[in-house]
Amino acid sequence: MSLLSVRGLEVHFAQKKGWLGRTRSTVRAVDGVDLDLEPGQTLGLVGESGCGKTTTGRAILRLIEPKAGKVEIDGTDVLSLDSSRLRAFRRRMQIVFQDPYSSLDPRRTVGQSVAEGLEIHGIGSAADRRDRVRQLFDKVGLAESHIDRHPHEFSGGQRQRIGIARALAVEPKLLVLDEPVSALDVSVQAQVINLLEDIQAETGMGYLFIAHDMGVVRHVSHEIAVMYLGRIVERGPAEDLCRNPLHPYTKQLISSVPSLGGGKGVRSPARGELPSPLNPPPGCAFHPRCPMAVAACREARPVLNEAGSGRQVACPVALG
Amino acid sequence: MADDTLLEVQGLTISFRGADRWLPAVDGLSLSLAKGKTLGLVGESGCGKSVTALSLLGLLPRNSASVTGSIRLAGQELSNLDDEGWRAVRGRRVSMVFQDPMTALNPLMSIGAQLSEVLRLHLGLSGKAARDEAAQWLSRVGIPDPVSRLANHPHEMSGGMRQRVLIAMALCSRPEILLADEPTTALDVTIQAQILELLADLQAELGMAMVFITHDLGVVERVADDLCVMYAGKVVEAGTSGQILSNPLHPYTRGLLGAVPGFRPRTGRLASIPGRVPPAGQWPEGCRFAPRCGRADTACQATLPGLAPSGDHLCACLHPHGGEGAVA
Repeated sequence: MSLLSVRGLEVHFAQKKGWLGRTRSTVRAVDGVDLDLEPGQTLGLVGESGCGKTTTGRAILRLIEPKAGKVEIDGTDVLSLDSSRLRAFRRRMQIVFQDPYSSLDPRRTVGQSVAEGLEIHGIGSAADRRDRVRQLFDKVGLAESHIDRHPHEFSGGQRQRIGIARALAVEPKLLVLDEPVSALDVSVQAQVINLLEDIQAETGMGYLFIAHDMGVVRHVSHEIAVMYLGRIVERGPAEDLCRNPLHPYTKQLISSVPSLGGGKGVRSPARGELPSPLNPPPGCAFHPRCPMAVAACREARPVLNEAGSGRQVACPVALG
Repeated sequence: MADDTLLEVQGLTISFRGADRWLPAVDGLSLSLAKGKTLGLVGESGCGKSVTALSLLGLLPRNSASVTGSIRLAGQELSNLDDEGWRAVRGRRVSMVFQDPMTALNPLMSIGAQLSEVLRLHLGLSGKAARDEAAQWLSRVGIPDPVSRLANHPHEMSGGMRQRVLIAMALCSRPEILLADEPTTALDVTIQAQILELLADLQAELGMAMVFITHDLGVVERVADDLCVMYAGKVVEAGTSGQILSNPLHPYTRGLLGAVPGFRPRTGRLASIPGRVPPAGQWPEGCRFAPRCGRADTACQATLPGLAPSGDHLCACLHPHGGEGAVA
C-alpha cells in the first residue's frame, strides 16, 4: 500500500479586487494535482516560485484546507477527519520548514520546542520525554548541552537540525520537507542532506521533498514531479526524468541550471516569466514560453498521459 | 602591473567596531581586475565578499568601519578619497547591482523617475532627453514596451524585471566596473539564466569589467575569467576559473566543489565539510580552515598561510592538494 496518495487536489484562494475589494476572483493555486509516494522513498516536488508546490505540501497536511480532492496517508482519508481526529493524526505527518530562523519559538528552549509534539500527543512521562529529546539531539548531530539553549544561539544549519528533531519526535510516517536546505550555505546544505538520507534509511519514513533546486532534488529523490502554475506537468523516476526530460518546461528547468563543468558562457534556454496565476493563459499554461507550441496548445489544457517506463507527461506535442 | 589592469587592490583590511573591540571582516585581501574581464569572488556567508564590494564603492560607514590598504582604479588611489571624491567614482566609474531587487528600488518612485535621476546625476540629462534615454535603457535590458513601463512602480514588476531595471540603473552611466553582488540569487533558475545572459551581452557591448560575487560555483564558472575563493576574510585560492575548477588545490575549495549536489547522476553521499564558517571575532589561530580540514596538522594550527604559487596558480595552504585533477 502506498504511503501517500493524492488525487485531484485543488486549493483556491479568493482575491479581492476593484473598488473596496467588492469584486472577487479566484486563484487556482493548486489545480488538480495527483501524487504518489511509497514508504522509505522520496518524492521530489520541483518548480519555480509561485507554481504552488508549497501550497500543495501544506494542503496535504491540512495546514491549508483544500477545495477538492482526496488525500490518503497510510490508508487514512485525511480530508474527511474531523478536528480532534486530525489533531491525533498529525503524529503521522510532520513538516520541516524552509526558514530555520522563523520556524522556532524564540522564547522557548529548543529542547522545549522539540518536546512539544510529545506533550501534545501525551507520549511518555516527563522523564521519558527528556530521554527522547536527548536521543533526538544525538540523532541529528547536536550535543546534549544544546537542549536548554534558545534558538538565537544557533547557526542556520543547527536550527534546521533542531527543526528536523522536532518533526521526528512523534515518529511520523510522512515528512514534508519544504525547501529544507535552500537557506543554508552549500557546505552545511550537504551535511543536512546527508543527515536526512541517514534518517530515512533508518526509519523508513517517506519524504515529500519540495524544492526549486533541480540539483538538490535530483540528488535526494527517487521520483520527481514537476509543477507549473498549479499543475503537474511531468512525473517519473528521478534519474530517468533528469537524463531525458520530456516536457519542454522540464527541459528548460534542467538546462537553465548552471552545472559545473560547463565552462564560460551563458545562453539561456528559457524566455519569459511565469504568467500571473490570477490570469493564466488559456490552454496549456506554458504555451507562451514554449518553443514547441502549436495552435492546439492555446486551446486544450493537456492532461498527464502515460509516456512509458513509469513516466507521465502533460504535453501532447512532446509525446508526438 | 600589466598595462590592462583596471583595478588593483592590495592588503585590503576591513574591521567593524564591536561592543568591546574591532571585529575583523576582511584580512589583507589583494586582487586585480583587467579591463573587460570578470573576476569571480566566491565564498559562503560571512567570508567577507560583500563587505569587500562595499569598500570598493566607499560605502562603508566611516565611524564604525576601519578600512586600510590600497585600492587603485586605473592608477588612481581611492582609499584616501573624501566623500566628494567618492561621489565622482561611485555610480559613475564603479556601479553596483545588489542581490535583492525587492529592496534596492524606491517603492514610492516610478521606474522612469529613478532611472532619470541617475541620468541627470551622472550624465546631466534632463526632461525629454532623460526620459528617452531611460526608455532606451529599459529596452536594452530586455523590458518589453519600455515607454509605458517608465510609469510603473516597482511593485508592479516581477523580481526578474526589477533586477533588469537595477542593471539598467547601474549601467546607464557606462561605468568602467560593475560590482554584481549575488545578482541572481533571489531569482528562479530560468530567470537567472536570462539575467546572466543579459549581463554577459551588456558586458561585451559596453566593454566594462565585472566583479561577480556569488556562493554558487556553477554560476561563477559561467561568468568569470578569474576566481578568488574566500574563507573567513582571506583569499585562500586564486587563479583563472579553469585552473581552479579543474584542479582545486585548497582543501576548502575541493570541499565546496564536492558539496554541490551537482547535476550529475546520484553518486551516494555528498562530501560535506564538517562544522561551519567561523563568525568574525571567532577566527581560530593559524589557518582558519584547519578546524574543519581533514589534512590539517599541528603546523596548520600554528601558522596562517599566505597565498603562494602552487601548481599553476595561487593557494594559501601548507598541505595543498596537487595533481589529482577535478573533484569526482
